[in-house]
Amino acid sequence: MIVLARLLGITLGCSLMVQTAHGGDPLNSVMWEFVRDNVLQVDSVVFDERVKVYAPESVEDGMNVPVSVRVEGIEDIAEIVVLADHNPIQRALNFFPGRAEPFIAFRMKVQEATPIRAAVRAGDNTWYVGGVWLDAPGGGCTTASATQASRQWETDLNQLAARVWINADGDNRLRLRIIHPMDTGLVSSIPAFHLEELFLKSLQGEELARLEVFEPVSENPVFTFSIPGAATEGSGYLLTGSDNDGNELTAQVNIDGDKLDLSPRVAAYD
Amino acid sequence: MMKQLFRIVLVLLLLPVPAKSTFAAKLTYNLEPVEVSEGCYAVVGGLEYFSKSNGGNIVNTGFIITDEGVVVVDTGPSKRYGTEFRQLIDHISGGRPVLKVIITHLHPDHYLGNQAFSDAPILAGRKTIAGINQQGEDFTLNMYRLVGDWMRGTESIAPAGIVEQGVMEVGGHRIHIMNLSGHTVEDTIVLDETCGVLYGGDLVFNRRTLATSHANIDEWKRSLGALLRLPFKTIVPGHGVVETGSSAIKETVDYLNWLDQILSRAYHSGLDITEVMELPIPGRFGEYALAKEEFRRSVSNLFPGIEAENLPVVND
Repeated sequence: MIVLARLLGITLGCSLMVQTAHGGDPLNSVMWEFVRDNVLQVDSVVFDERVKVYAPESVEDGMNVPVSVRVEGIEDIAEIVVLADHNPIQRALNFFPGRAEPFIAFRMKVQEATPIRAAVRAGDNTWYVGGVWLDAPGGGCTTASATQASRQWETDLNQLAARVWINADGDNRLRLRIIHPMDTGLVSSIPAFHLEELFLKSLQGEELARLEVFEPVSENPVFTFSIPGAATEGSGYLLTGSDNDGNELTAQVNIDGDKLDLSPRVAAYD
Repeated sequence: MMKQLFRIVLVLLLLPVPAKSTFAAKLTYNLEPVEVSEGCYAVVGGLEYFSKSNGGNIVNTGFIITDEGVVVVDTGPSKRYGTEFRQLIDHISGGRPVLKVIITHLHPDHYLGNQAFSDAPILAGRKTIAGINQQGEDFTLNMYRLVGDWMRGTESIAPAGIVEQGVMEVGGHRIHIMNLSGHTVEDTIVLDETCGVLYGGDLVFNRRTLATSHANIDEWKRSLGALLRLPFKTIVPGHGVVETGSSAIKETVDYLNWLDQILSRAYHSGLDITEVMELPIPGRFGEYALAKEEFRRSVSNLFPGIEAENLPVVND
């Protein structure tokens, strides 16, 4: 009887250990501790719901997963890192918001179903982490899809298309799209070829925000930023950047007066 | 101590073990054909997305029994479906030969039953065949992932021949085959003018939100215009409810128009794709099966194209 009780006790104890085995991760990912230790390289983080990550629950196309990150109520943010635990290359981007809002939207590739996380480093070096699970088919990082990869980069590498929407109530919204193949280097005989850095500046050249971009970001990347007040019709932004092959891009984005209109979010059409 | 241990082991050994059949429960689709009109049949799938519980049976397949033999429209999502479908056809037709199988388009839920029809000519449009050759492996892998053991033994078998368009007499039935496009790069429809039944493939979705993974909305709308001019009485849509009249086509057109308009408006308003995915869906479209899910997929499929066309280039 005592042996039986001991067996039961051991079984219960084991199951409790399994529940907390993943470093307190609310998404319960087997890869979390590896990602924390080797990619973020920190001892501990605070899982915090103020770090809001949006990704669809499931996607059919693992090569273009829309993700947005918004942080509300955390002061003095130095850096936002976006990660996918189950990707062969986990880190998608490092965003240094600077004068921009702690908001970034973009698209990325995923290799399989995975947590998508944002890790926010505050000024005191505390890391706050939020995330969601994403379901996806396999191979987003290791497939060169014949139907999806466009060859436009061969003539239009680093072409930049962009538009600013003025928001009378708050932050201007800047969306930009860069022609670039964003090759991961994980597809046989296609070397890694991807954007590395993007700088958002005022027309006077003052740095507003910075982005370090990595292989998981999707081909022909689209980024959306939210920038407080200052820029008005007639003014604009400067964008500069480079890829891992030394190619550079420079562009000026003028503000034409387009207004941000969020009303479709609440309207019901007939 | 040892005695107690022995007792525990004995108890464990005597615990009831589930019979083999619990683990090896036979998966079966229980297909039930509906005679839409004399000789023209449909097998109607569920209004769901692919899952391990439905075996991928979310599609409508069909067959026409003529004096000469059977014309089959699409073969389903797996070898297992194809096998059961074939048995059903043989049973109802009294063993008549399958004259031809027509695959409407390249999506896996419509052609992965082909192995059960290997003795018959399996035909499709040229672009459908090319698409299956190019993407069939990927589609099949994805089906295995989504649907699981129902797919066992299924291989992607491309149609062997090009389907002949036009009007033909087959065993007392006047059958009209036409290649259109829009849902995918090529969509083949079969109209049995004798029955008055239009097998619309995935050009028509009825009360189940349409899918746009390979779609071109402008082509799709044009194709639907062409379908409206055909002399049918009843439509068997690729997914959704079998219904007399043309309302299924009109509903599909309305939804495509709404999709076009909402995505364009969302883009020009400055919404990000993640916000577009969360937009409310108006009343009647919101009542279709899979309304939110398929709308989000459509946003994912179509919004990047709108951005690519419309965002102004700033550094030439």
